[in-house]
Amino acid sequence: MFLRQTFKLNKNFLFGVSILLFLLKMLCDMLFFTFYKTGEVYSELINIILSSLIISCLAYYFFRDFKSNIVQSEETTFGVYSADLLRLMISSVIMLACSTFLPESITYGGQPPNHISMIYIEAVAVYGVFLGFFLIRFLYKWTWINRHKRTKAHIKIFIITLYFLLIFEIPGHFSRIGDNDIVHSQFLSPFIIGLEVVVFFVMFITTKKNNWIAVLPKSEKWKLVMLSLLAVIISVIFTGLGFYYKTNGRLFNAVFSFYGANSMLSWTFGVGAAYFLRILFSTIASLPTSDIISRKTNELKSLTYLNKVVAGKFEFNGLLDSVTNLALGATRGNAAWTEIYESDGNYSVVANRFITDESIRFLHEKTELMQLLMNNDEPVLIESISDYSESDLTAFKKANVAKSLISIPLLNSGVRTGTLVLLHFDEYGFDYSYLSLLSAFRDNISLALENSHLIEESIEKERFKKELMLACQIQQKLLPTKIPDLKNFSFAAFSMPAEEVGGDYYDIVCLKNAKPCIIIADVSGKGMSAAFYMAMLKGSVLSASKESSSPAELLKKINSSLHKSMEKQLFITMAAVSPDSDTGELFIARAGHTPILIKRMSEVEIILPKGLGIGLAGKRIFDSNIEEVKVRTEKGDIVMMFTDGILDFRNETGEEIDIQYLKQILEKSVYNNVGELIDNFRIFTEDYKTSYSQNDDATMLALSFNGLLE
Amino acid sequence: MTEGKKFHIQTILLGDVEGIYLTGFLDAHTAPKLEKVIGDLIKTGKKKILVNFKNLDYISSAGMGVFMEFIESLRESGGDIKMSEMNPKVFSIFDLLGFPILFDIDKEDKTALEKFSLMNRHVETT
Repeated sequence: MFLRQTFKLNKNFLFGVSILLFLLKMLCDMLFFTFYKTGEVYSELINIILSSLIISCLAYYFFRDFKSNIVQSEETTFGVYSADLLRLMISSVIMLACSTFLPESITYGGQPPNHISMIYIEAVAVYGVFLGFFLIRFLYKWTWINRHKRTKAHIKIFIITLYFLLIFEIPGHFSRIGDNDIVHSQFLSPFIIGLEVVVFFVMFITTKKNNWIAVLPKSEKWKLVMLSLLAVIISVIFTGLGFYYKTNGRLFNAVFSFYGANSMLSWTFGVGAAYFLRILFSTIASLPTSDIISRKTNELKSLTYLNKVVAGKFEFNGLLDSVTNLALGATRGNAAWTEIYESDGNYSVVANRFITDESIRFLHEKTELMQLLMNNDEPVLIESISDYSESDLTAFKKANVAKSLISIPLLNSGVRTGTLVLLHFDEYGFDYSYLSLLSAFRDNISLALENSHLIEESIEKERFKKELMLACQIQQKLLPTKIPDLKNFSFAAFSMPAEEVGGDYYDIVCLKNAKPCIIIADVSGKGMSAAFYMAMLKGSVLSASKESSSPAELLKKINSSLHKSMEKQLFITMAAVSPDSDTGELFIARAGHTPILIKRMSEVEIILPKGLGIGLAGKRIFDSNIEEVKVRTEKGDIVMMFTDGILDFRNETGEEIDIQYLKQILEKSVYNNVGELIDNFRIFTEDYKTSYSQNDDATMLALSFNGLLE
Repeated sequence: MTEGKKFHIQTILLGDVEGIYLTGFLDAHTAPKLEKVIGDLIKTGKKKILVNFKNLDYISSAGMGVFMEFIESLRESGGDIKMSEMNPKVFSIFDLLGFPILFDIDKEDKTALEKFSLMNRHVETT
């Protein structure tokens, strides 16, 4: 880190140093000029040394960290390129403009006329050096940005050769002192010229691949032609400086005064000439194909955008609207519409651009167009409507709505659900290349339509699932959460719905006189509707229980209140058991429900009081057909109530559980604890459920008498 | 084809009584079929329907609900649904609910048909 810091410091430091050196050189030149010592060896030497140092420092300053800077810069578009190039051109033109202010009487290697012009000449010369560096930076930057695998090596060669040129110039200057030109002209000069040729050649090759030019829009290509032409001209002018040293060009003579400046200018611009020539040729060569390329790019953009739209939009009509727009834009049509077909055969226009509903209706009703388009499920292209002869389109031709047409059928899971129609007001406005593009559209659209359909379905399903969960939660609240303590009796229960929501219900309510009453109920059916009735039943139970003093009375009241509100084909089976804690007696009533089992000692009795299911008959018939039974119990006796869902289960041997089976289980059981009895049954049914599906809600209640407390 | 157990309905005219002979399993899946048959019969003006359960193996609450759906309006218009030849298991399901109180469930078609003709006479005499 510290090292990098010092390097950075060095960079700015170097720039400062070069400025200082330049000022120093100016000072020396002034002194030499004033004292007429410019021709002396030592003044030449100092001149050369200072010039070379300045150029070296500047070179280091310009190119240190250069590559990493390019890599970091984000903007590499043509806009940036043309801006850079324009800047370069303007700088060059400034140089040329400045040269017009150079004094007429400059001679090659001669004295400047006065101090002021000397300073000016020096400044122009140094500006030339800067210009040279600008150009190299430009070339380096843009060949690097537009590089390919082979051009990478070329660019490296280019840079290295430039370094060499720079270095080998220096001895060349020394050799000119005292007109000792032999070394210069015999050895260094050819070598340097050789290097220049190499660089020129390398640059020419590097600029070979110019794919970035081919994809530019036409207007930008023309801009590039102009700029590169200007650049070539300017490059030739500056390169010429290196060759026409025999002529007494002012600029050349001025530039020559700063050692290295002229070569900097001439060979950098020589390389520049190679580069810009190449660019110019490439651009001119790619002009004819601009149209096709821009069209292809346009098509690709449309397809990409279509994909985005299709992936992002699920809403059917919005999707078709976007698609219509896209298709119109991609094919450069003049009008378009999309129609969708209903199940009754009618059509409806979901999107239209630049054509009215009336016109579309006219085309449907008064021309043969739609018959043709509905003929099959393939895209249709009519390049020239007036020339169309494959089928009769007389009315359509007469209507003169368009000169060219494309139709894309829209399919959803293989069924024709709509059509997209594009119109062009020019004959041959649409051609076959659009057809393949639009076929891609069609496939994407079909996919999108199917997705939209599926997603709408799945949203529905989600909504339904959520409602079901909500119903389940509500229903949980209907079942008793806490079993109230029954004096001298113990109670246990389990209830397992077949689906998320079920139709089984049980509860312990208080009758009039605070007598407890255990009820069990089974709503016919399962799922949501059963759950609704269950909720209705609970309400009825709670209000009826306050007015009833016995289980039978309770059931009668419930039937009276529910019978009219229930659908004809639905009914509820119920059973109610009311224990008398003081006597140990049980009062039992049954409304269509499964039998109640009582275990006394080791025998099980099946209790089946008469009674119709709730909701099957009105008050008169129901009330006159229900009976209540009184049963005595001893300590340890167990009463079992259940719903017929229990009977759906099978035991280990695959036998159906029927009443007799339950009876046997109860007889054999050694449960005193109803909790244990229920738990064992629960485990059994849970095990069963993991291997087999449960068809009906299953509930089991157990009540045992603990004897009278003395 | 629907999954599940088989269910079949055969209708035979027995004089002025429409006989419906059920076979197989009558549950929530197959009940709509029976519902349609009875509904169509009533629409065509049939009032007397005898449902024979001889070959019916199983019935669920959905199946029983079908009869409840039509009985009230049918009886109001002077008709009836009677049932016959249930096997003990099926009968016990009906019995548990108290259906014998609401419907005539006979052991044979013959007795059921007799009851239908009694109905006629009753109507004639009033």
